Amino acid sequence: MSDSLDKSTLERLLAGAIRGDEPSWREIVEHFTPRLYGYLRKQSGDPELAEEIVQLTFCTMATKLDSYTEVGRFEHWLYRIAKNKLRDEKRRQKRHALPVDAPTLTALAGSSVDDTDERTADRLQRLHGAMSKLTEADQRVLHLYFVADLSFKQIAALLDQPLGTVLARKHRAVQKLAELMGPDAETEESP
Amino acid sequence: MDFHNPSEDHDPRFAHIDDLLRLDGELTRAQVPADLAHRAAMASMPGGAADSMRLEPSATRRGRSQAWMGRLAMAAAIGLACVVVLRPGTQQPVAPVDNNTIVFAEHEPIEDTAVCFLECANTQAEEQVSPLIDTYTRAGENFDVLSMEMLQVAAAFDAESGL
Repeated sequence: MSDSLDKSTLERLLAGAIRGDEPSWREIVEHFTPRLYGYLRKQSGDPELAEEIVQLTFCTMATKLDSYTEVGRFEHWLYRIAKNKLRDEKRRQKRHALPVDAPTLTALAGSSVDDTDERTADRLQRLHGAMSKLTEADQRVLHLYFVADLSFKQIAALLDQPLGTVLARKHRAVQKLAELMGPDAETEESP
Repeated sequence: MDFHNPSEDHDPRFAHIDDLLRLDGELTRAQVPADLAHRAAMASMPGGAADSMRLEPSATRRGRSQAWMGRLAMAAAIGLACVVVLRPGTQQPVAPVDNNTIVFAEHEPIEDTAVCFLECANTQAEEQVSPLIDTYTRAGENFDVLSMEMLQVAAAFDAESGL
């Protein structure tokens, strides 16, 4: 699904970053920024806020790299900081999370992915409409899995939930989406 | 690293939803601003070389502030001066340096969410301006809205003062 950074590479880069090696830190930030931004954007519905939290998250991590002890759990650490910052920011700013709207979809179809045709854009819009009807907990799991690109094991650790609970939640959420979107979602899959 | 393992959960009945969610995830990640990773790396770079660059908590916030600064400068020009401080970590306001000084950020390590503090440096206008400042700093630092209202206050202050 996405370019990966294997565990040993990440640990090597982290060791470099802790020593103050800028290219190592830059590689880490560049690798995780799209995932983190995507997740925060989905969770907040606010691109500006997502950008801000991404930067604040990496700033916080950088100041604490010296004391990084969660070897093998970097993503857990990263997303936990981001999640807390987003929560704090939303509380403080009293912002309301919004689903990705039609203009965003139009921009998507028109810019980042050329082969996203109108029908796909329409399906994505219906997907977002259906997503907005899911519980916040269901949405979070789907965002962590499909946008943040975390494994179920990582999600379970992040949310402090048993792996089975996370798997069941994801399954139920997808089933609910299928129900909400109706049969068109399936028939349009294979034009 | 186990980023994503489709085999962890796969129900063929809902494969089309999974595919759609996967596409949506890819599109969302693709929307990341082109320079965000660079900005994040530069702002957070560990080690001494980048410490001097940690003047701003975020380019986004700085961008907003700069837009607001232009308007505030106009307000200052007609008799209303304020100090704006982006001060991460300590969350303590900074006293005005002088009536026309605007401080963007302090040279401090970023430890927590940056907070914008506004202080009216014009004692004559303070009574009118402070409630606005309090309202908007509490409500989420909506610089654009605040700046417009500040301009209105400034204009009113200007008229009342006969400036």
